[in-house]
Amino acid sequence: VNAAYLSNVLVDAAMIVWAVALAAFAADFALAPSRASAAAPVPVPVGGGSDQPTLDAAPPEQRRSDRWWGIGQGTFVLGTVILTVAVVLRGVAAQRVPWANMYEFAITGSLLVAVAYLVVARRYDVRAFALWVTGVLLLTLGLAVTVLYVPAGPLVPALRSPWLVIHVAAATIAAAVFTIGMVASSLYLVRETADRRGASGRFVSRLPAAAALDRVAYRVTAFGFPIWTFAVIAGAIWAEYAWGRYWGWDPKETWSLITWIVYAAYLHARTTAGWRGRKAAVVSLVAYATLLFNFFGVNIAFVGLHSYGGL
Amino acid sequence: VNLQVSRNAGKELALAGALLAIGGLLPTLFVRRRRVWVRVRTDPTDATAGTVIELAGLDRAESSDDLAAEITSLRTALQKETR
Repeated sequence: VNAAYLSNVLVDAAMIVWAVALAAFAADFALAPSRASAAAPVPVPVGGGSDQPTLDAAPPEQRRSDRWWGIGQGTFVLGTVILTVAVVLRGVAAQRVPWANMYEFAITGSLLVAVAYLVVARRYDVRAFALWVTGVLLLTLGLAVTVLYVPAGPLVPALRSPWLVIHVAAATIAAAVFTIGMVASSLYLVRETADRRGASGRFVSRLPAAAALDRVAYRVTAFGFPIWTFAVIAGAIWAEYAWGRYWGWDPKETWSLITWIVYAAYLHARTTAGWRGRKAAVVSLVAYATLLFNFFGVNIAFVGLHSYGGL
Repeated sequence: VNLQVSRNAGKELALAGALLAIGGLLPTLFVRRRRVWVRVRTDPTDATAGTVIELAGLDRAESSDDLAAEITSLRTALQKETR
């Protein structure tokens, strides 16, 4: 069996399994009993399970929702495992690291977002994130298989370098981490707006407390930022080797700097100017928008040295 | 054949600057900055009043959720020390 073909089939399989996870997370979200709006952010080890309240003590609607949560968790992890195999096989088929074109960034990036979510979920109560993270992942994979797909093949000469491994891996990891931060900031804005208006609908009351969402958004972004910084520097080193200059205002370079500046502004505003909450969340969403534009928009809209792999 | 030759005199300097920037960035983001005050007061006019020790803390980092626990543990340590 051809590895490239098997990889494609497994990407489709991961999408189907994650679609089941999406439905289960939606059911969990719809059935979960609402949280009090002033609830303290209690770290609950999601996925560990041992510290969860026993089922006997839980109200019936909690029990029903927990069952869906379990199904969602199980299928989410299964989808992640399937996608891992798909990404590895893609690398085997192309005989290089599986992140050299837009399609491969999308599948590898999705895998990293899923892993980042699972890691964050071990430390923070991000049960409410699962639905939205899965939605983003399905959207990305859907875009990957329909619009971005290119057959597995060798690299153009300029990309054949160990820096492909370092620079692109760092950029993809940072983007995955920022994606989790984006979900946290978005949910924060929804929650905070509802709190301010005194709304307490079933939807809003199931989100974590605004302050907890704000804190998760900051910590995740603070973790991703040095990785992004390193990715930009590694890119400059590679550019020096490949193109003879370390910085040439290529569209990708320029936009990676813009993303860096806006995320730096976010962190700076928080730690020095004391911006919290709403203003900070808006800045972080703007930063994420520039990241997305750098990833998709630059390759589609501009002709630059980072145009490769058909897009 | 298309040949291109370039020389950047300042590239080592730029690299050193970038690495220093990362070196500065990491502690900025991950070192917890906080201040703790301990004030020891005795009443000079009243020898029997004993000593009052006051503790206060100010957290400059985002992770302010465990400052209270830290002050409490400091208080426990001081109580052991003064007993």
